[in-house]
Amino acid sequence: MHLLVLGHVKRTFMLGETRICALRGVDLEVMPGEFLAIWGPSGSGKSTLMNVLGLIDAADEGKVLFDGEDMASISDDELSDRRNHKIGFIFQSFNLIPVLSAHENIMLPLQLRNLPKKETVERADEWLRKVGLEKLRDFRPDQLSGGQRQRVAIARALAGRPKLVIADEPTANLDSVTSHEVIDLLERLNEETGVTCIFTTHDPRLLDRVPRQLRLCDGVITHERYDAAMASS
Amino acid sequence: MTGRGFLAMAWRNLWRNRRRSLATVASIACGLAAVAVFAGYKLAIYTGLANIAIHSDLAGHLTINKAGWRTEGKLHPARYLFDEAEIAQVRVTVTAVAPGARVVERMNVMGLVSNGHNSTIFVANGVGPADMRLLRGPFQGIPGVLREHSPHGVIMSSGLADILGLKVGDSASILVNTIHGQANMADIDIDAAVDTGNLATNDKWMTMPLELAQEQLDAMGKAEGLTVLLPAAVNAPAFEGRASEEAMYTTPAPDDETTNALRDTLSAALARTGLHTEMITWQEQSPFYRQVKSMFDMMFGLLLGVVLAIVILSVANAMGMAVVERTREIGTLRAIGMRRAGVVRLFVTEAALLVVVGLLVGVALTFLVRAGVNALDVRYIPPSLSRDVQLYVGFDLLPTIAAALALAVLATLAATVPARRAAHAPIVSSLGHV
Repeated sequence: MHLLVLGHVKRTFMLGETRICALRGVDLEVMPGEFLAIWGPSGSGKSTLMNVLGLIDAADEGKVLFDGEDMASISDDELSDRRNHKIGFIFQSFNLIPVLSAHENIMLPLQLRNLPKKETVERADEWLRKVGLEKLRDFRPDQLSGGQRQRVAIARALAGRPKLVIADEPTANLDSVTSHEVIDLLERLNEETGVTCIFTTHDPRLLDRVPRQLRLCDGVITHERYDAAMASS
Repeated sequence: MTGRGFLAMAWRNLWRNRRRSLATVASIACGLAAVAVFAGYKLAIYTGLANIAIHSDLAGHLTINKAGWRTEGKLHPARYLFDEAEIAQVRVTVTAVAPGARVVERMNVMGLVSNGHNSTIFVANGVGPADMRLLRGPFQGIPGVLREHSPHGVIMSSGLADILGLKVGDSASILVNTIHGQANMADIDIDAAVDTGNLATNDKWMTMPLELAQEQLDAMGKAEGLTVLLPAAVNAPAFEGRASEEAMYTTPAPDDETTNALRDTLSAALARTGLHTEMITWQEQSPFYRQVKSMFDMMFGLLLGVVLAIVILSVANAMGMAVVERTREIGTLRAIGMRRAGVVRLFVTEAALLVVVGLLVGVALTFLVRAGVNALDVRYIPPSLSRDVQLYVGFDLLPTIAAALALAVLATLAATVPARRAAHAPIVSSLGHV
C-alpha cells in the first residue's frame, strides 16, 4: 500500500492583492521506505508541497491520502496526533526548542505522545547515540554547532519511529562537509529503520545520491527520475 | 505531555526574557501588596473605630432603653426610665442570654455649666466610676476615668474647659432640669479634662458620676439606658501604654451578626418577662463608624478594580510579547504534534507561574510594608477628629485571599487570549515567522 497519495493537489495563497498558485495540480505516490528528493528553483512550490505532505498545510483542491487515510476528513487534533505518531520533521533552521537540552528536545515528541518516562528517556538516549551526540546530552541548542543541532533535529524526528520524515532543505544552513554528513545519516537511518524520507534541496551533489528525484517547477512536477539500481542497493 | 513537563518547560521559558518576567512579577506583587496593605489599613480603621465607640465613647455592645424612649423620652422622661426592679430584671435576663455579660446603668444629663461668670450648654453622660472602668474593657489607658469617692468630680472635655477657662482642680456649677421640669443646680469639681477626639463633642461633653446625674434629674435609683458589655471584653486583660493604642486597632469587636443576634434574642427574652424595650447595637449607635466603613469599602473596591486592570494588562502584555517572540517555536511545537490545547496550556502555565511567584512576592512585600509603616509610628489627624492617631496597618486575611484569587484567575485568563491566538495561527505561517 502507498504511504502517500496526492491526487491533483492545488494550493493557492494571497500575497497582498496577488493570488499565488503554489501548487497547480500535483499527482504523487510514495511507497513506504522510499528515499526521495524534491528539487527545483526558488518559488517552484517545493516548501508548499512539503507542508502538504507533512500535514501542516491543507490542499485547496485534490486528495491527500496518508497511510490510507483521507486527510481532509479528520480534525485538527487528529492531524496533530498523526504528525506526532507518523511524521518526523527536519527543518532548515533546525527549529529546536531553545530552553530544552539536546536530550529533552529529542524526548519532546515522545512526551507529547504520553509515553512512559522510562521509555522516553531510553529512546532519547538511544537516538543521541545513533547521531553521535551522547556526550552533548545536556547541552542546549545555543551551545551546539549547526551540524550538531541538525543531528539533534534528526534524532527528534526519528525517535518517535515515524513512517515519514519530511526534511525541507535540511542542509541549507550547513557547510558542504556537514551537509554530506547529514544526508549520510538520513540515508543510513532510511536503510536501517525503513522510514520514508522526503527532502528538498538545491544542491545537485546531494541529488546524485538519491534514487528518486522529482523536479518541481511553477507548482507542477515537471520531471521525475528513478534509479532502480540505486534504490535496490 | 505530563503537567510536570509543561511546568518545567513553562518555568524555563519565563527566564528567557528575565527583565520582562521580573517586571510582570513586580506588577503583580505591587498590586497584591497595595490591595492587602489597604485592606489591612481598612481593617485597622474599622477595628479602631469600633473599639473607640464601644470602649472610649462608652457605647458598650448594646444599649437597652424602654420601648418608646427614643421618640417620647424627652417629652415624658419619667415614663421611660428603668426602675430598680426593671434593672434587676434586665440583669437577670442578660445573664441568662449571654452568661458573663455585664449591664451598666446610664443616665444622660444636659443643661448649662457656669464658671460663675459665663455659662454654656453641656451634655453629660452619667455612669458609675467602677462601671466606667468596666466599659473601658482592655483599654484602661484611655485618658479620663471617674474617680471613686469624688461624688461631684467630673471629666470635662478639653474644649468645654477652654471655653469656660477652667482647669483641672477648679469648680463650676451646673443647672439641669429634673425629670419633673424643675430647675436643679449643683457644684461640680473638674477632676480631669480630656480631648474627646471628636470636634462635634469636644466643646460640650462631660462624664459625671451616675449618682450625681440621678440626683440632678431627681431620679435616684433609676436609669435611662442600660449598656450591655459582652464577656469577651469584660474578661480581656488590660493593655498598657503603646500596646494599648495598637490593641485598639487589633482587638476585634463583635460584628453585626453577633450584636444583631444578641439584640433580637435579648429583646424577645425581655418581652417574655413583660418588659418591652428598644435596643441599638454599637454599630447603630455609631453613625461615624458606618459612614467611614461605607466610604473605605467603596475606596477598596475602586482600588481593587484599578489593580486588577493593571495586573491583567501587564500579564496579557507579557504573554502577548512572548507569543509574538516565540511564534516560530509555536509552529514547531504544533508541527511535531502538540495540539492547540497544548499550546494554550503551555502559555497559561507560564502566566500562572508568573502570577504565583508575583503573589508570593506580594505577600512578602505586604508584611514588609506593614512592619515598616507600623514601626515608623506615622501619625495623622483623621477627618472630624481633634487628635492625631497612629497610621496602623493590620492584616485582613479574607480580602487579601479574595484579591489574590481574583488576580490569579483573571491574570491567567488574560493569558489565554494571546495563547489561543497563537494556537490557532496556521502552522505554516508560524514556522515562517521572522
